[in-house]
Order: sequence, then structure tokens, then C-alpha cells
Amino acid sequence: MAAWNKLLPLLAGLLLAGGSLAQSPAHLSVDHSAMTSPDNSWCIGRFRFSLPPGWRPTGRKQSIYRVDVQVRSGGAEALWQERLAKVRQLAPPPGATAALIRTFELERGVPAVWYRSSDVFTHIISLEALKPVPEGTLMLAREAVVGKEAAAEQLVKNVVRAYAPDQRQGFCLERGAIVTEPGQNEETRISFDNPSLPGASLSLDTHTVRQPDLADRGAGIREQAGKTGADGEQVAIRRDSVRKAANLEGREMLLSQSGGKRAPSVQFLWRYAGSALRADQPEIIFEATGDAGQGRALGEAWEMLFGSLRPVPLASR
Amino acid sequence: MATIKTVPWHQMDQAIAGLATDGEHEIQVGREAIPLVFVPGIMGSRLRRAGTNGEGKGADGLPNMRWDPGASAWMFHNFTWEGPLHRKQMLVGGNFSPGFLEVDNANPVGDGFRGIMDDYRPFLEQLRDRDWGPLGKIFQFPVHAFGYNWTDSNDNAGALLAKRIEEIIAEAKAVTGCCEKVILITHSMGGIVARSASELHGASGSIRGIVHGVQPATGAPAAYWRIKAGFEGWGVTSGTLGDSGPNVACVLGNIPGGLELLPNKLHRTNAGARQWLSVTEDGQTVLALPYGNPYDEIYRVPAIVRPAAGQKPSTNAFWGLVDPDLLDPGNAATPQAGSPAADDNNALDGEASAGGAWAGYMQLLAKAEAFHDSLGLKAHASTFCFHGTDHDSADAVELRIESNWVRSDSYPTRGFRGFFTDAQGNDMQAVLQDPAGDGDGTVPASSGAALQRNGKPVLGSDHFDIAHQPAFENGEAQQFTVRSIIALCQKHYGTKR
Repeated sequence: MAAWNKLLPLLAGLLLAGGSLAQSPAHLSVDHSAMTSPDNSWCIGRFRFSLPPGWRPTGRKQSIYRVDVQVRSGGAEALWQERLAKVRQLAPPPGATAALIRTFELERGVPAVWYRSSDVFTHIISLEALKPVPEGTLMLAREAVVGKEAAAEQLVKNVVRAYAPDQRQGFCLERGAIVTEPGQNEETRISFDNPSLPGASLSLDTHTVRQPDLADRGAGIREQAGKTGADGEQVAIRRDSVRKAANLEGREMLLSQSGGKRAPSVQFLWRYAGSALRADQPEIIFEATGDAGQGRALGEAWEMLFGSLRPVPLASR
Repeated sequence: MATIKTVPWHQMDQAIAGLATDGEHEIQVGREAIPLVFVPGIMGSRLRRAGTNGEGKGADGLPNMRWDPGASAWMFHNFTWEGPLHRKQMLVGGNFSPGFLEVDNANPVGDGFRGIMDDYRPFLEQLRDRDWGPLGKIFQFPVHAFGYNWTDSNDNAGALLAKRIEEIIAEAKAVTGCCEKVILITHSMGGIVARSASELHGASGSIRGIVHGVQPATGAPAAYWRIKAGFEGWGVTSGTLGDSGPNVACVLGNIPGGLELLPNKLHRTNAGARQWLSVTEDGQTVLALPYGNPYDEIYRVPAIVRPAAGQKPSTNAFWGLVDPDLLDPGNAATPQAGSPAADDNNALDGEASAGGAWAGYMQLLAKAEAFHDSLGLKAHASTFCFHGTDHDSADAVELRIESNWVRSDSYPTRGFRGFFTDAQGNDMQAVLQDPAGDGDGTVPASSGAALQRNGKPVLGSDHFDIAHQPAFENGEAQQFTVRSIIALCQKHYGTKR
């Protein structure tokens, strides 16, 4: 890793010489090549599940302790340079001349960069770090309030150290997992499409909750069902019932929409409200949408998702 | 065969020079284009993730389309079904940035109708297809819509509108040969955007006049009410826009556009009082605000909705605008006293982010205050306004003190309760009361009529029994708008002839 020590000052010099060019989101970008599964089974955060063949991921996000984490295929040096180039393009907030603050080694073999990630706020900065791991490159990002850099660095360092290759326990990243104590702030999202079902999508979202929101989210749509909207659109409720997934009881709704300017469509929804501060019982939302003619295929994927959802062991080491 | 010559409409009674005497001539009236540009209200523009075409999902797994209020099924599963964290991620992202969202316009923009919510279309199509009678002999009225990123500040939206006005004039001129100025027609917050363009961004010289409908010219206490309690009313509209404080504060508290709808320093109740926020007990007012500056006295005060343990009486300012916990939904960890242990990840999590959301809110608030101060009641010289009446509206907001035996939730659906302890140590609650003033259901009459009181002309009746959102679906409001356009054209005709 001595190469990093030589590379960092050079890159930093290049970055400081460059100006800010354009605003772009600071979040880590998706890496489709890193999201493959021969049997179409998936492991994200505290859950794993399977889908029928043909469904492929289009987006994925996971964070623990508000540290965005992902494993990407590809060499660490190339990814590091890619990230630095993006940082260099960010517009700094008022009063700052450049987005980049400094590059350094978070620990041996873990290059990191602090930068101003907001073009509006002066008190927000971001830390990104990466580390080569057997599955590719572990990439991490964490925002922090100015003056709290030490806490953020320690936190990211702890997450790096908690990464366990080829694990499907703890907080799952598909390729490996973060094996440490459950977080009060965990969030995951994965979305899929299917080339044989144009326009159809399926997604799973989870996030820990301070308190579960037990409000009836279906009340409004029940009131609207059967009425005609301003553009002629009508929504009908085909299913509205309690249903369990991974032994967690939530509400399932199946809607169909017709009329208006859009093609008739179907939507499958399921929501579990979660338990307060429980990483293994976060709020969970499944959603699948598609054209009305895709309802059967969507339904099959939906049922497989329900039947296969399993918790990942909350292992701690 | 006749030669054709086009003469500008205002030169038709003048001698035409240069015509040959041995041929036929056909003289055509060169009509002047006066584009009608509609500026919708907050949440009235369709928004997508910037840099996308609005289709499919992005790398973060969220849809690239972020706000499509005309599509009820889409809105249901992307908003009604979802909680504060998702709402914030869809419309704000991590921290507000003006470049996060953009209008889902066509490229080129064309008439701009695609960028705004469908509900506005019937009125705009009616304007576009209207037979303007004699006016149509000398003027033509292409109709445009200006969608804008309503999460951003009205200052920025006004700058973009000023630029778009010049583009529309150039486009119309290229087609008709004559276009000098536009007429703006605004709905709700669109009025603030239009005044920003006209008075703060140099567009007044390119605007023939502005017709404002239901504009919260001095802000709307409904914005305070909704941040505390969610959107009023029942059904899918309330559910979609957010039917509880947590579902609304996470968005409106994190975007300049939302904060700029709050009552500003010029706001008065319908009765003319400066203090629009009160806490009452047994019919007596125990607190009335603001005395001068609502930003300092209400908006910058953190809303602490529960008393500190053992405090008698408690000093928690439950009436402050924003509960700091609601700005950063889904995140639970709080910093501990002193430095957290290096291996306590949840404590480090809280420490690294401590105070960040509140500090961001304070920065946005400072911008909103500066914008309000610079705009004041400035308005275009040719301004016509109408406002709504006969609907219960928040011209003032009351929190009524009651004893509390059983309640524990500060944020029920469409409600708010601030808990505190009185001097005797009793558990008390201050319950947010339903709006009861006159207005359109969102904008009170006092704010909707504020520009008239500031000396703007009245064109017949300027207030109707209309609800806020569908204001332009009302026949009287439509007639007022047409009357205003005709009046502006007549004035223009008089100055040219």
C-alpha cells in the first residue's frame, strides 16, 4: 500500500489545481457489474430473498450508522481516481474556493478524502474512503458536521474494520457483510427491472425507525378508489389485507389504475411499520409496478419475494 | 397578382409609403403577439431528478420522476404510501441543493404545458383556444406555462422566469414579427415567483402586466399549521402531500420554497393584528406572537414538544415552528455528553451529525428572510389580483391549552399537541385548533388582498367563493383573468395609438 502514499500528494496537487466545474451528486454511483447472482437470490442489509429469472438490479443503496457502503468490482486505484475526479467537479458552497479539502490515509491501505459536498451549506462536509477487499473494492461515504471530523473518521474506520468478506450475516452487502453491533440508523434499497417486462419494476426498501408509524397509509386511496380523477384516471383496489413476510406482519395492497393519459397499470404494495430502534425489524416496503398486461408475471415475482424473504443473522464478532 | 405588405397594427391609420401605383396591393395587419405565461403554485410543477429524462429508476433505486401530481396512482405509491424519510429523499435528497431536481419539461420546452400539473390544462387550453373578438384582429395570445423547481427559492425561480420571458418574447417575435412583452398569470406561490422576476430580476420592462390569483403576498399561516400538523382535509390529497407534522416538516422545513410561504414580517390577520400565533387558556391569551419578527420569535425557536423531566413549570417552546427531530427523519442516534467511546458506533453516528440538520434549516431560513425583506410588497405597476373567500383558512393560528390525562402523541394525523408542565406540576397540552378565518382554505383574505391594500387597482370584484388549489377552475376567477388581460391590452392600445 505504499503506492497510495506516493499517489496521494500527486492527486491532491492535481485536484487543487483544478477548479470546480459542475454540480453533481456526491453519492456513490451504482455498479451493475458488482450486482450479479447466478440463482437470482439477493442479500441486502438484514434480509435475503430470491426472484424469478429475468429480474436484474437497477439500483442499490445501503447504509449503516449513516455510512453509505458498497462493494464494487474493479481496482481500487481506478475507483479512487474516479471518485477524486468527481469531487473535483463539485461546486463548493458560498465562500469556499474548491470542493476538495484534503486527502489522507484513514488507516494503512485506506485512502480517504474530505470534501465540501454541498453547494449551499457551509457546515456540511463529506468523507469518502475505499479499501481493496477480496470481492473488489469496499467504498464508504459519510457526511459530517464541520468540527465533528474525528467522530466521522473513527466511525468509518470502524465500519472498514468490521467488513467480513464472503459473509451473509450481519449487515449484508451482497459480497461480504459489515459484522458489528446493530445500528440505530440503517437503510437499504434495491430495485429491479426485467427486460422481458418493459417498464415494470420491483423494489425493496428498509430503514430503522425511531418509532413505528402506525398510521393507515391506505386510507386515502380507499377514499379515492372508484372515483374519477381530474385527468380521467381511476384507481381500483384489488387486494387490501394483512400479510406476513419473514414473520413480520404488514399490510398488502394491490391496485389497478385505468383511464387518463397513462396506460392501465397494476401496483403491488406491502408495508411493515417496523419496531423502534430494531435493526432486525426496520420499516419495510415492497413495491412492484407494471402495465396491466404484466400483472401475472409481476404477481409471480411478488409471491416469490414473499415466500423467500428471510432475515440475515444479526451476527456480532 | 397582388403584392402583400404587412403593416404593424398600430400604423394602420398612417399613410403607407413606397407602394407602386400600377399594381394591386394587399395590406395585412401585422398582429402583435402578447404571450400569456402561466406560473403555477408550489407543488404545481412536475419535477424529475436533474440530469435524467424522468423515466425508470436511478442508481439509488429511487424513481427518476420525483413529483407528478396529475398521476394519482403514481403519487399514491410514491408518497401516500411512504413516510418522512422517503419523502425527503424524493424531494430534497440528503441536503437541499438547487440542482437536485429540475422541471420535467420537453426539450425544447415548447409551450411548457408538460412541466406543470394536469389540473391547470383546461383553463390554459381555454385561453389558448379563446375567440378574443376585436382584440384578436390586432393581437394574438400564445399561451405558455412556466414550470419551476418549487423546492428552490423563489429568488432563483424568479431569475429563471425572467430569462424564460426573454426566450418566449424572442420565439414569438420570430413567428409574428412583433412581440414586446408578456402577460403573466399566476397561481398561489407563482405570484411570488412572478414578482421576484419582475421586481428583483429586471423583468418588469418585459411584462405588460400580471394577474395574480390567490397569492399569499404576505405569506400564509397555513404553512406553519401544515408543518406542525400536516395538510388539512381528508382523503388522498392530504395523504399525498403529507397528513402529519413529520410527513410535512421533513420536506417543507428543508426547502427554501416551503419556508418562503411562511407569514413574513408584513403579515396581518384578517382583523389587522400583527400577532397571528396565539396560545390560549380558558379564553384568555397567554402568548401572542410575533411582536415584530416572526423569524426570530417563532421560526428560529426549536419546537420542543415535551417538557424536560422534573421541570415545573416547563419552559419548552412547543409553539416553535420546527421540531429539530423532524428535519432529519429516520435517524435516531443522538450525541452523548463528552466524546463517545471509539467503539460505540451508534454514539459516533450521533456525534458526527449533531446539529447538522438544524444548522442547515437556519441557513435556509436566513435566505428566506432576506428574500422576503427584499421583495416586501413590491409589485409590477400593472397588477391585478383576486383572492378567495368563504373557506375556513388560517389567518391566525391558535394553540388551546387543556389538561392532559391520556394523550402522548404530539403528531396525530392532521393534528398537533404540545405537551408541557404548568406551575403546579400538572401535565398539560396545547392543542392546535382548526383554521377558522376567511380565505380560500390556504391563503387568508388578508394575505390574498395585501397588494390591493398597497394601492394596486381593483378591477371589479376581486374576491370570490373559491378554494385555493382549483381557483382557476372557477368561472368568476376565469372571467376576472380574461377581464384583466383585456384591460392590459386596452391600456397598451391606448399608449400605441
